Parts: sequence; C-alpha cells; structure tokens
Amino acid sequence: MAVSSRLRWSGDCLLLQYALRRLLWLVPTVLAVVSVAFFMVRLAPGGPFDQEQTLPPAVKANLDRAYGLDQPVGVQYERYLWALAHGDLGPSLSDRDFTVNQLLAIGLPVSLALGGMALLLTLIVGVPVGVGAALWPGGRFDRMVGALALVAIAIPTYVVAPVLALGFGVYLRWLPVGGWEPGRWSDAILPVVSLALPSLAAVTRLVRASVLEALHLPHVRTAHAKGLHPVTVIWRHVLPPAVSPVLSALGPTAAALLTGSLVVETLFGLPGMGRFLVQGALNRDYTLVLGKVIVYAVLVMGLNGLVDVLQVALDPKLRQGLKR
Amino acid sequence: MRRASRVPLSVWLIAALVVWACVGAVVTRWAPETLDWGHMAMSPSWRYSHWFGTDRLGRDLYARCLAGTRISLGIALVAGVLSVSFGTVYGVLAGFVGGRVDAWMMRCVDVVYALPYVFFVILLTVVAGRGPMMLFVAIASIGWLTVAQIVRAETRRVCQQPFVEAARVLGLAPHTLLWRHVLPNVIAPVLVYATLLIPQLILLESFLSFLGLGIQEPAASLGNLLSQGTQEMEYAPWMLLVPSALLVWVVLSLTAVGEWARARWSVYAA
Repeated sequence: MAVSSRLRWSGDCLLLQYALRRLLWLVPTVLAVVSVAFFMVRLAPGGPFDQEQTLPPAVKANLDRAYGLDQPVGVQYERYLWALAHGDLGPSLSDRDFTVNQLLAIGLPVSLALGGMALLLTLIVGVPVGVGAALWPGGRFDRMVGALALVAIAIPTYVVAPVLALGFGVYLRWLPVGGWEPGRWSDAILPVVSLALPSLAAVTRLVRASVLEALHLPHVRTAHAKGLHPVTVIWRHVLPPAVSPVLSALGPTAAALLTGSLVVETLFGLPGMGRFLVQGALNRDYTLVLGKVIVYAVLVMGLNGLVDVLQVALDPKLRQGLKR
Repeated sequence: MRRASRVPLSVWLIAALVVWACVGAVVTRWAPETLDWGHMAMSPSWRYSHWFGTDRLGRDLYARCLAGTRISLGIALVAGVLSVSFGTVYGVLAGFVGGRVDAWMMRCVDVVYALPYVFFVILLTVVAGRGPMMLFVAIASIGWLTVAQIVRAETRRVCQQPFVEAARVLGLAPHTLLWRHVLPNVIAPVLVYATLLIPQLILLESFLSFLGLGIQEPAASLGNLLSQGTQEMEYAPWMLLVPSALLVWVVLSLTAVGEWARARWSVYAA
C-alpha cells in the first residue's frame, strides 16, 4: 500500500497535533476506567484472605493492616492512585511473593509475543485471501473461503485449541503440546494458530466485503478505463478506500489478541497474562485485576487512537477536515 | 427464487439434534451420573452399551453428552427468550420516546458493554451463587444489549415513516400506535437476529462452564464436558472429540440457519 509515502507527506504539524491530542485524552479515560474497576471489585462480598483456612481474627486484622485494607475505601482509592502515578501497581494479594509489576513483567512479554504473531498471521493471510474472494464473488474460491470463515468464526477457541493439540501434538507428534522456552519456535505454532483463527476469519470477511464495495466506486472504473494494469488498480485505487473499515475493526481485535487469551494460555501451559482477570476476580486480588484492566484499557485506547491517526493520514478528506 | 426458498440442510441438522436431545435417552440404559465401576475410562464400546465410552469415574459419556446438550440448548433458549423480550421492550421504549430518555437509556447500554463480561459474570456468581438461575440471568444480561440497540434503531426508522405520522395525526393513542403499528414492523429483524443470538448464547454458556463458572459437576453441560475432555485427551481422546463434535454441530448449524434467515428475509441486522 501507499502507506509509507503518505505518512512521510503528512509529517506536518497538524497530524502531529492531532496525535498528541489523542494521546492526552488517554489520561482521563484510563482514570475513569480505573475508578469504575476499583469500586466494582470491592462491591463483591468477601476479601482477598477469605480462602485461607479460617484465620484467627488477629492474624486477619494484621494482614488487612499490612495491605492497607483496613482503611476506608476512599483512602485506599487515594493511595492506589498516588502509587499508580509513580508507576507502582501495588503488591499482588494472591501471588503474595510478587508485586503486580513483577507479574506483568513476566506475563506481558509472553502475551505480547503470542498476540503479535497471531496479529501478523491474521493480516498476512486474511488480507490477500479476502481480496482474492472479493475479485470473483460467487466463484469457487469465494464460496470455499466463505464456508471456512463461517466454520472458523463459529467454532470457539476452547474446541479448536485442544483438537489441534490432540491431532498435531499427541497423534502426529509434529509439534509440542505445551511449554514455552524462549527461542523454541515450534512451541508458538499451535497457540498462535488457535489464537489467530477467529480474528483471521473475521478480517477475511471484512476485507472481502469492503473490497467488494470499493470495486464498484466510480474512480475504479475510470482507472480501468484509462488502461491501468489490473494489479495497479487494486493496489493503488481499490485497497486504500477499502482499508478504512478494516483498520477500525483492527483496534479492538489487536488489543484482545495482545492481552492474552485465558483459554489458549492455560491449555498450552504458557506463562502469559491471560489468566490474570479471572484469577484476580476469583481470589479478590484487587490489585491484579486492576493491573490487567489498566493494561487492557491503555492498549485498547492507544490502538484505537493509533487507528484514528492512521485513518487521517490515509484519507485526504479527513486530512482536509483537520485544517479547519 | 425457488432455490432460496427451499429449506436448507442446516435446519434439518438442528431439528435432528433437538429430536435426539428429546428422545435420545431411550437407547441407553445408563443415567448421566451412574458410575460403572467395571469400566472406567473405557473407549466407545457396543458390548457394554457405552456408545461414546466412559469417563474416568465410569460415567457413560453418551448419557452425559445427552444431558449436556439438553442443558446447553435449554439455557440458550431460556436466556435467548429473556434477552430478546427484555431487549425488545427496552429498545422500543427508548426509540419511541426519544430525546433525553433515549440518550440516557442507550448510554447505560454502552456502559454495560464496556465492562469485561467475564468479570461481570464472576461478580454475579459471587453475589447470587452458582446455579442454573444465575446462569440464565448472567447470560441474558449480556444478550439483551445488542437486541436493544437493533430494536431501538429499527424503531427510530419506523417512527419516521409516513404511515406512523399519519396514525399520529389521526389521533391514535400512543400505546395503540406502539402496539399496532411500530411493534409489528420491528419484530422481523428481531426474530432474525434471535436465530443468530442463540448460538452466541450457547457458546457463552459453554465458555463459562469450561472455566468452571457455569454448570457445576456432577451435572453435565457441553462446556464442562469439554473442559474434562481437554484435561484427559491424551489417554481418553473420545472425551474431547465427542463433546467437541456436538458443540460444533449445534453452533454451526444454528449459525447457518441464522445466516440463511437473514439472506432469505434480507434483513441486515448487525
């Protein structure tokens, strides 16, 4: 795509200003999400230390005091925000030897690597296949892709992942069933494929629909009429307008992939951060839940902002709107 | 047009599954929770009439899958009816009243949307305990959101049509207008969306049960059967493959029915 040349062109200060303004908006939005999540986890009855065998009241009181849980909720909220402003997410209340920062430092790189590879796979396969299906609508390839996409969207990860592990890991013994060692690529194949399948199918369908629409735009007919090579027409005139809806959908998809999947990580025994939300909520590990919610919110909003900036950079009409 | 109006294969597939769920118990002598001490973790066998094999405790997988399918279908159906009816009422009211009420009602929908639903469901389990009732409520509390949005958009569209304006000018009472003219016109897309919603709800239920938050042992649902199958797939692969096949069957054929209905009545629900 002509992305890079256009980005170079739009290195003007208007776009930069727009990007910075989007970045600044991140702060109040994340603050709002943190506040809602902070009070919501505390709404649930029970506390972080209820699951130990019944503690003597004195011990429990000491534990509560050590973690500041004996304070009124308002004071806890203030302290949490103060620590957060210094980049400290607090001690984990269920993995008691770790702070949330340490847990994230272990889990986040794994989830980011897995999600990044899944995202790459989604784009590398999804976009060309979607374009191919749109070029000959109703053809054999299109119908095959449509059926496969329906299957991939309808079948959940917790069916696909174990069946793939059973087939390729247990029976064929081509790939390891689980485990994670840095540098061993074969470990990543099954998790990445099972993680990528649903979003791959969704992106393929989306690309097909928007390319199909773009093919009927008047300027595409003109491009054909003036005798441009069909490949050039698709590359220069069909793909740019078709990219916009795909980009908008990609923000949330990427955030979901990058923050880790509970099912995939549990199944393949990967030390990612997918389990943090459920584990944290079940154990009333308030700080762990908040840590994941913050990472997720920052990723979602950051990626959505990035997508919006890219849209503006790509679309001349939106660029015009910026000047006004 | 003749081709399109033919009943597709997917309708027959789902009908067959529903019939099996109703009468399938006739062909087995095992109950879902009976232990067969002599045959634990046994592969499918005709000799002992364990058609799909047994699990580690010697419970018959055919009977458990049957019970699981019934529960999954039943929960999705009840939660589907709950979310469709609540979402329709909510959406019609918001769209019909309009103005500030509408804005606030839809803002509430947006807020519930923004919360991670697993988190929401866990909070519900803690407050209401784990049982089928909680599951209905938890699943329906997520399912109604999209219904409300679709119905509201449809209501706004219908309300701008000339015949509604005419009825209003003729002095029809608002409730008669709503009942006689607006509701019949928004119901078709709702029904089509409902056929697409049911497989989503089945997936949601099985996901929650897979995580151990839904149907609890010893009761069976497709979700917790799958989760057991995953743990024991290396020595008892049938425990994974049979529930997987059933779930795929249900979800794929229901989704195909929904897409067919959408194309047949050319409704473009979200």
